[in-house]
Amino acid sequence: MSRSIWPSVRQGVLLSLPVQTALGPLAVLFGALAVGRGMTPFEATVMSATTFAGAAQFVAIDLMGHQVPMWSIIVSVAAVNFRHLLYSAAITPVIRPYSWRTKAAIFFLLVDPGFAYAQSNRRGFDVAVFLSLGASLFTMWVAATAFGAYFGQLLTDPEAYALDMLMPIYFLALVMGFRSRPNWTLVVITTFVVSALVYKAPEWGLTFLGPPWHITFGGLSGMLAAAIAARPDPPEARDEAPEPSLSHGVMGPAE
Amino acid sequence: MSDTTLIIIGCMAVSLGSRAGGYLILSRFERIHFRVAAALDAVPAAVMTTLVVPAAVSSSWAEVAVLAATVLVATRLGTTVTLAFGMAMILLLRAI
Repeated sequence: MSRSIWPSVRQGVLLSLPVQTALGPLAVLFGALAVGRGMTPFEATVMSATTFAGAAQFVAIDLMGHQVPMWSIIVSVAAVNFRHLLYSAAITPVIRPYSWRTKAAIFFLLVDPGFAYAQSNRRGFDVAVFLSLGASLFTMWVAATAFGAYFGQLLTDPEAYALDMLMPIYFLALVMGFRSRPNWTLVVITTFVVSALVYKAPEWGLTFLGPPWHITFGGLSGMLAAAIAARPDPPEARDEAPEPSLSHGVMGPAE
Repeated sequence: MSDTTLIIIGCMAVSLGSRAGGYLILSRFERIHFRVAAALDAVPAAVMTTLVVPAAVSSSWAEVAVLAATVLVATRLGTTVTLAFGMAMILLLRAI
């Protein structure tokens, strides 16, 4: 291990560049929207630096604007970030040799592009490349959030810029990004129908339903549909378990 | 502590917990049952679908048309371009 780590650091930064071009604008937008939803610029920046998750942070500020209880915001964020639990399990054999301090850094930076790197380099995993990639993304995410939060106050009238539709469109585009997964159509349609019925239920007299239960029951119905429709793994794939089919399109910065 | 502070702490806890939790908990199991794995795999798409529902069922025709067009555009183009397209379309339709 006498060779310099700088080539690895450089490789990590280079790997991050394509993702940065999408990540930067999204983070600026997050900062501006978070302030529009009542966070201080400092709080928005702290959230990006501690949670460090694209879609999940947008979910949180979206729900903060809908007057739903705090527990349902946190449960929704947990649900969107749930895939990280699977990433973390999938890279177990790769990271087992490292010290706990290094593992802590790996966990903190285990977002979609990092997982994609770890998955495609299981044999020659270079922890310096992984950490450099993650740290580059983290720096951009936090700096661009701060920029948007401190300088984005021109977005004070969401309706005027159609910003009320920004997050539904964004989430819909992300859902479409998952479409190569097994049983995706079944999951999305089941979820949509159940969620819409629960959302509309108060209009039909069922006042104990309605938001935020459309997220809870909609999500659970989609999971149930996926579980019922699932096929057993082919026998030769089993020694790779636990590793569900996660690898499609994980380079997407915004997932 | 304010609600915002609690939300930030809660979001941090569940995010970091899931990134470390797979290694600490899930990897102790020899194998995850395929139905459990399929259900977990469906979570992101399912949750994000529920977040589109309010806009899709309680808005006027313009919002529904934009969401339908977004589905079509997303089959061809990336997330950022699709988002830009959808926003341009809704601004246009509301301006008419």
